[in-house]
Amino acid sequence: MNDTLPLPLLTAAVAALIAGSLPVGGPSFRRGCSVLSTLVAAVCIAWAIGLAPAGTTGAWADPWVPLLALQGPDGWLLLALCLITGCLVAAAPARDVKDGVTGGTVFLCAANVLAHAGTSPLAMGLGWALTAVPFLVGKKAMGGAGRHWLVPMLGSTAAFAAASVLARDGAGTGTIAWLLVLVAVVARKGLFPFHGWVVRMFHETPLAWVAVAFNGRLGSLLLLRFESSVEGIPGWVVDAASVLVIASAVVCSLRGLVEKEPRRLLGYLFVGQSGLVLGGVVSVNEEGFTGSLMHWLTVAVASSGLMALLRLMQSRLPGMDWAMRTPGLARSAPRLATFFLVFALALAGLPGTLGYCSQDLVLGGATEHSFAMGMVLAMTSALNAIAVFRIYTQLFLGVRPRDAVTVPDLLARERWPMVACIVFLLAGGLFPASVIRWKVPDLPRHEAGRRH
Amino acid sequence: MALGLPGALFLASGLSWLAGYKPPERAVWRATKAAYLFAFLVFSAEAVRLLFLHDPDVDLRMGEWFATSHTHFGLELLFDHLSVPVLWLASLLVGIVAAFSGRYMHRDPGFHRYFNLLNLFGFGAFLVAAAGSVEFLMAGWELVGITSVLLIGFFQDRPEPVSNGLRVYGYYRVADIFLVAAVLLGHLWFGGIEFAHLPGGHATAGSESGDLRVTVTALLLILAACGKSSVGPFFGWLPRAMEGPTPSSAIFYGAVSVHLGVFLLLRAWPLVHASKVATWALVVIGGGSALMGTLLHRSANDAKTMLAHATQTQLGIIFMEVGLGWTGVAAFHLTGHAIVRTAQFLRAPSLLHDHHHVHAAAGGSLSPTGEHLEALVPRKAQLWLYRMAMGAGFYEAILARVLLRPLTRLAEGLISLEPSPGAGRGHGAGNLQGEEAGR
Repeated sequence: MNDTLPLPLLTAAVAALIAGSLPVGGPSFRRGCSVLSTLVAAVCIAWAIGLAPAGTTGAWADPWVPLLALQGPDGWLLLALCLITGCLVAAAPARDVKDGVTGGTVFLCAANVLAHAGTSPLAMGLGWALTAVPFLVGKKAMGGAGRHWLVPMLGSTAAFAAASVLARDGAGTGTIAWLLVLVAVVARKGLFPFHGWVVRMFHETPLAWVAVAFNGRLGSLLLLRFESSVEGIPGWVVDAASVLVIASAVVCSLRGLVEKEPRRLLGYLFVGQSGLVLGGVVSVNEEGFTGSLMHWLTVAVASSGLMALLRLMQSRLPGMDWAMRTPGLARSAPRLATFFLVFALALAGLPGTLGYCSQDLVLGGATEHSFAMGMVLAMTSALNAIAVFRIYTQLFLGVRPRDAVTVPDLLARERWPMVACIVFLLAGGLFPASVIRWKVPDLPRHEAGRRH
Repeated sequence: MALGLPGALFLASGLSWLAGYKPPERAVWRATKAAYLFAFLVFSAEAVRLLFLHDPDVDLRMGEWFATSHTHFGLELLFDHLSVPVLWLASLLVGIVAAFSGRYMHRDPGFHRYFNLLNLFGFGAFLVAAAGSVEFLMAGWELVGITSVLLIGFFQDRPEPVSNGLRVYGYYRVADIFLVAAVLLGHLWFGGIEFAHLPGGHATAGSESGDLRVTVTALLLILAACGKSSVGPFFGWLPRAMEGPTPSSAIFYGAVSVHLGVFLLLRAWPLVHASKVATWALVVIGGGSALMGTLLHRSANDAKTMLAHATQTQLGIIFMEVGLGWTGVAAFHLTGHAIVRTAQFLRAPSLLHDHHHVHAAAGGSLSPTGEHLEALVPRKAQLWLYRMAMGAGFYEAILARVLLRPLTRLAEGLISLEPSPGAGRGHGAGNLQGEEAGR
C-alpha cells in the first residue's frame, strides 16, 4: 500500500533538526534549541506513525517532498533515534555545546532521518553522504584527529551510489551491483575488515557523533530495503554477509577481551553488536528479522547511554589515563556507576531488559538460518558480556587513587535523560510484546535465492 | 504474588533511590523479612497441598511473554513435586539469611545495596524454581548469576574482590553459552523445551538422529549445571567467590545458588535419563569433583575456602546420585546439604569460638576425621596428593596455559588487522583521551 501523509510531517521533522543544529546564541540557548528540535522531530514522526498505522508494508509519502516517505518499521526507529539524540544533547557536558558537538549530533540525526525516509536511492544516498559532514567540518571538536575514517565512509557512499546507478540502468540484479551493495553495507557498518576504522572513530571523534552516526544503522537499512523488495537478496550475498558477520563478531569479541582503553573497547563491543543486528537481518527468517529490529533499538539506546556516560566521566576527569588506572568512581558517583552497569548489562542481554529478548530472537533466527552462525554468535555474545562487565569494573570499582579528585555524581540535567533510556530498556524487557508489535507483521517473504 | 514480592521490593527500593530517598535500615530489613516470611507461608501451604493432599501439579500459563509467528515464549510457571519444595527451601533460607544480615550488615555503607541484591537474587531463584520452560528458567538463572558476581565484588574498594568477581562472571558466562546453546537447539530440534512435556526416550525411540539430539542437548544442560554448581570443568571458581560478605556466601555458595545446577538436572531429568552418555557423564563428573573437593578441603587453610571445597564434594556426590538415577535421594541430599551448609557458613566468622566449645565438650581430645582413610594411601602418594591439593589441582595453571594464554595471544595478534598498529593500544593514547585531545 502506498499513500500520502495528510501533513508534511517528515519535511517538518528534517527542517526542525537542521534548524536545531545551527550554531546560534549562547551555550544554554543552543542546547535548549537542539533538545527542542529533536522533540519537535520526534512529535512529527510519532504523528506520522499515528497517521500511517504500524503494520503497513507500504510507503507513506510526504506531501511536500515526495522523495521522503515513512516506510515499514522505520518510523519507530526514527522516533527512537530522535529521542536518543535529544537525550545525548541534554546530557552532554557544557564544553560539547560550546564546541559545536551537540549541533553536529543533531545534524547527524537529520541526515539519518533523510536516509531512512528517502524513497529513492538518490535521497537515501544524500542522507547517507550527509552523515560525513560534521566529521569533515568539525575539526575543532575532533582536535584535528579522526580524518582517516573518512576513507571507508566515503568509499561506502561511493559503493552505494555505484550500486544505485547500476540498479537504475537495469543491471541491479547483476553480481557487480550486489558486490557494491555488500561493500557499502560492510564499510558503513564497520564490519570486518573495516572494524578498525570504527574503533578509531570511537577513540578519536566525539562519542555523541559516533552514537548517532552508527546507530542510524544505514548498512542494515540498505539490506532491509532489498530484503523487503520484490526480488529479495540473492543467496550468495546472504552467505557472504553471514561470513562477514561471523568474522566481525569473533574478531571484535576477542579484541574486546584484551583491550584496556574504554573508548576503544566500546568500539569493539559496538561492532560486535552491529554484527548481531546484521546477523538477524541476513538470517532471512521472521525470528531473526524481528530480533534484529529489537536489537537495533536495544543497541541504539544502551550504547548511546554508555557513550554519554563515558563522555561525562572524561569531561569530569580530563587528565585521567583511563587505560591504566582504576578511578574507583562507584563510591563517589553511585548513580553514574549504576546507570553504566544497567546499560552495559542490557547490551550483554540481562533478563529484564530488552536486550535479553532481542538477543534471544536474533540467536534463534541465526541458528535456524545456519547452525554454525547461531553457535558462534552465542559464543561471541558471551565474550562481549565479559568485556562489558570488565569495562564496568575497570571504570567504577577498585581502589581510588589518592591523587584522584572526588567526582560529582550525575546532575539532574544529566540524570533524567539517562533514566528515560533505562526505563525504555526495562519496560521493553518486561513487556517485549509491545515492542515487537512495532515491526511490520507480514513482511513479504521471498523464497527465491534464500537458504533455509 | 509470593514469587514476585522480592522483585517488587527490589524495584521499589531502586525507584526510591532514584528519587533520592534512602529508607531507614530497619524498614528495609523488616520489609525483606516480611516478604520472605509471606513467601515461606505460601509455599508451605502449597507443599502441604501437593505432598499431603495429593492435589495435581499446577501448570500455570499466564499468556505470552513475546512471540513471532514461529516461536512463542510463554509465561509459564510449573508448581509440582520438585519446584514447590525448592521454592519452600529457597524462601526459608533466603529469609533466614536476610534476618541474619540485618545485624551483620548494620551501618555498613553498602547496606541498601546488599539488600537490593539479595532481593533480586531471591526473585531470580524463585523464577528458576518455578519456571515452566527453559527460556524462563534462563531469565532467573542470569539474575542469580549477576547478583552473585556483584556480591562477590561487594567490597568494591579492594582489588581482590573486584578481580575475583570479574573472573567468576567469566566462568558464569562461559557456562551460560551451553545453556543458550541448549535453548537454541531445543527450539530447533524439539520446538522448545517445556519442562512439563520434555522430549525423552519415548519421543525419540528408534531414531538415531533423535537419540543424538537428546544426548547433545542433555550434555549441554549438564555443562551449564556444572558451571552454576562449580563442579567438573568449572571447578575453579567457588573458592574465589568467598570474597563477598559472609551471609551472601551462605545463601549463594552454601544454600541456593550452587544447588540450582542440581535443580536444572532434576528438572530436565527425563531428557538426561534418555541418554546413557549423559548419565555416565554425570557420574564421572560428579565422582571426579567429589574426590577433588575432598582433597582440596583437607588442605585448605581458611574456614570459608574449606567450606567451599566441602560444598563441592557434596555437590559432586549429588551429581553422581542424579546420574545413577537416584533422583529422590538427590533431592533429599540437596535439601539437607543446603540447610547444614547455610548454618556452617553463617557460623564461619565464629568458627574458632565454636571449635573451642566442641573441643572442651569432647574432653580436650578432638581427633581429626578421615585419618583411617589417609592411612590406606601410600606415603609417596599422600605427598603427591597433598602437593596437588595445595596447588588447587593446578586447575588455574592448566586453564591459563591451555586456554587463556593462547586466546590472549590470538586476541593481541588480531590488532594487526587494524589500520595503524600501535595507535591507542590501551596505553599508547596517554592522558589525552579522544576529543579531549583537541582542547
